[in-house]
Amino acid sequence: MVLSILRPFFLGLYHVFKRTFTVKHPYETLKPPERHRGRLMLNMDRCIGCSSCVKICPNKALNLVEFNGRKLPQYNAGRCCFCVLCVDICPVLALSMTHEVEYSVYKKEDHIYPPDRFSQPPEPVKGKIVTVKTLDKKFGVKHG
Amino acid sequence: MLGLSFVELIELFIKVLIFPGTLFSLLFSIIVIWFERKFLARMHLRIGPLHVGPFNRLGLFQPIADFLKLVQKEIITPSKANNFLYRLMPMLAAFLSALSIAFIPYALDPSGGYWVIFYTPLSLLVILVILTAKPFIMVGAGWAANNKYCTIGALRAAFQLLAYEIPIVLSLVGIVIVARSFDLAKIVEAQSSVWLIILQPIGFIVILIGMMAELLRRPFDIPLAEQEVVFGWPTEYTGVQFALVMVSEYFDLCVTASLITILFLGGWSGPAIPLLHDISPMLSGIFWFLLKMAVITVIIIMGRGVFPRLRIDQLLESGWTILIPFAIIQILITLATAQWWLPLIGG
Amino acid sequence: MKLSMGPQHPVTSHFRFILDVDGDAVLNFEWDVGYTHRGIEKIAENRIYVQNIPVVERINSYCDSIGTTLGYVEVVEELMDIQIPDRAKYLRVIAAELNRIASHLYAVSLVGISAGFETMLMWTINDRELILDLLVKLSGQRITYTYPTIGGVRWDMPDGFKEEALERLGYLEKRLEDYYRMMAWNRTFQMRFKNVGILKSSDAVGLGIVGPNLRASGVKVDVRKDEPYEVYDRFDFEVPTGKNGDSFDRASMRLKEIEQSIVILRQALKDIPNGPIKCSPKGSKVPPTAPRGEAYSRVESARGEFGYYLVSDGKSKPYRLKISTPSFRNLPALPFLCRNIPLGDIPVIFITFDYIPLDVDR
Repeated sequence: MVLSILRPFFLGLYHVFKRTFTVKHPYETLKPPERHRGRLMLNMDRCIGCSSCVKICPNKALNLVEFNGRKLPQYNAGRCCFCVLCVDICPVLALSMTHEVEYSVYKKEDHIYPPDRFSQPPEPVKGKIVTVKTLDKKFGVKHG
Repeated sequence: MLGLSFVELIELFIKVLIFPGTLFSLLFSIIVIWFERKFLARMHLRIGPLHVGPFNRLGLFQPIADFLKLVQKEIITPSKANNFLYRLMPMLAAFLSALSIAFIPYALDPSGGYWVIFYTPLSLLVILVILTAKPFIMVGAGWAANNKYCTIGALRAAFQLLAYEIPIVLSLVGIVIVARSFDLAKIVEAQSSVWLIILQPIGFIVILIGMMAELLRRPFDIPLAEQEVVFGWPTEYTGVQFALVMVSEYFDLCVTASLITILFLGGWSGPAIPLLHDISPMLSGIFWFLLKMAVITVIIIMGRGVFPRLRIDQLLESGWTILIPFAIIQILITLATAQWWLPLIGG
Repeated sequence: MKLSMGPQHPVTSHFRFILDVDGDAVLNFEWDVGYTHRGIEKIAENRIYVQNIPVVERINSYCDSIGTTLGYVEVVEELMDIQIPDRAKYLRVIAAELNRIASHLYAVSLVGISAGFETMLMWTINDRELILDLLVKLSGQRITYTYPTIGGVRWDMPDGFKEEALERLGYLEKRLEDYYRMMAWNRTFQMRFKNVGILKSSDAVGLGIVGPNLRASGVKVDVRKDEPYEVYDRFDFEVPTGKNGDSFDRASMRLKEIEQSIVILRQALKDIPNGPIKCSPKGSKVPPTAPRGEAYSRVESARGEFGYYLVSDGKSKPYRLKISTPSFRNLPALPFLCRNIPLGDIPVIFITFDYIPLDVDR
């Protein structure tokens, strides 16, 4: 009984000296995997305005608008659920997922991406990019 | 004024304002809050406070920043609360907790006597009386807030604190038998050759557990249980009132750690530290006192990291059926073995 | 005294409990659910079959979405009579088991916090992050994967996934030892959780409890074993059961199931065959409409048995989709157990059943 009380005590004390798990986000960023689904991006040169993405979207996050005399999709990031059905269905591979996840805005209207903004690539991530380097039970997980 | 000479007056001011008075106890609270957060964070494999203050990754000034934030906040009184009691109780809590510090001797005064704000030969009793007053504050605050969670929390606090004062007092009896005095300073002097933790290990464990329950620390923080009664009796407090409640909690921790240091770990006794001893022998004593205090504080804090909370009936049961018998056994052992340990402490 | 616990309370999430308390004793217990009702069954009638995958995923979005979507795609495949390739089946199993581990780790973390045990919360959430990392590599999202699709899975394993998964599972297996030491073998934890909320096996069956909670009561029921879907019949694993059916058994059941999931994953990663991952290279080859008829499928998600009943009238949208969710079926246990107990046991019993309000309300 004494052991079962003392064991957690020493185990806890031992963990004080382990590596911390935290990634200090604005300064360090976990490297997004290749498939990581962030904000959608449109390739304006490829898009043929077929509207299959608009039809497949379960949340009506995409809709067609007139832009420079062409019909192009407009993106509402506030409605998007990142199911990527639109990327799968696109016959000309005009849509793609970026790794951008920090696109919070103050106003609801700012979530709407007209085709020109929709086709801009995201800004590169600031800060150090880290991954899980070593998994070691003795000293904890090392990011680096 | 007060019939004191100028030098005595200055000394009193130093005692009240710097050590062991206001500045020390506030500094202790700040350091302990910071240490608790950082230490538990490391145990959780987190970093803890990070940005505030000097030195990267330390977050030293986080408690101060939190305090400033709390001071700025609006004080909200629930509409059906008893206004007078509701506002009085946090102040009373902080005041009473701070009051105990006045009776604790922290070192030998080089000019004779002890380094204590108010010397009384009955200091142990006075501190016990102040400890006993705590449940009334909690019940008062919990009742005044007129919130069901507060009421349940306050009643739990009353049960718990009353139940755990008895084993504490009982195991103090053993100490008083040894030291033949209620004077904390005399108790320290009785331990000049051997610490009481060696003579009375059971009493030490009983007092440590009892004090953790009195302080409402983790395995025993049932009155504050977040998952059951939101935050217990201080649920409704906001802003500076909440800050007062928190500060009173850490003042209590300061008092408890000092008390255990004095009762079991020989207070300020210890080998002289060369550099400090040259300046003043008192500083060496204070160093040892603070070091022992720190060890006790770490043990008390660690409970939060490694134990889940108990239930109130389990707590009361273990209080009445385990701790009290053990405390009595300790007294009996102390009496029965008097002939062996009396020469050890020079009695 | 009537005490209204929730929906804004540290432990009850989106439930509301109405308790009659006398001091610290709970005399009567009633629950009030429905704060997260979204009408997913109705929404599903207005979406085509493929669009419904991300919709039904939201039933159980933050814990076990593979288990949820798997049931849906299976019922549609049964109705459309689609045979999916072997590799897709293995990939589904891998994703489902990874997600089960993540979900159970989350459940264990909540078990810890239900008694104010923050260390357990942080440790398990940290290690869950490693598993979620794997799932991001596989599917691209942390919690709402949309990974199984009608006729297979959507993506193949990326390069180096197998090695990384095995490494992380090995690490997790070692960490489980720490969990046992810190939690299950901790005397204080046992004091708090043992003999609390005892659900006898006869009562559990009578109340219709499913999943790990039923197995904790000693009833050996697991859809993966009893009625194997995908390729579960090819793996050699055990169905752990508890003895007493108390909160301690329910809590440690999750740890035992994580061990079994690791066993399954090791076999699946070893045996996975090569081949296509969809029944046709483009998802569009799957027929857009289902024939007239009805189908039922059940899967074992992390919380228990998910049942999907689909009725089609031959159009591109389902006529009716009835979903039976595990948390809702576990709900009758709460009023049964939460009468004449101390108030401190309410969070313990509630959390060890691993409810998720999204799942109860749909």
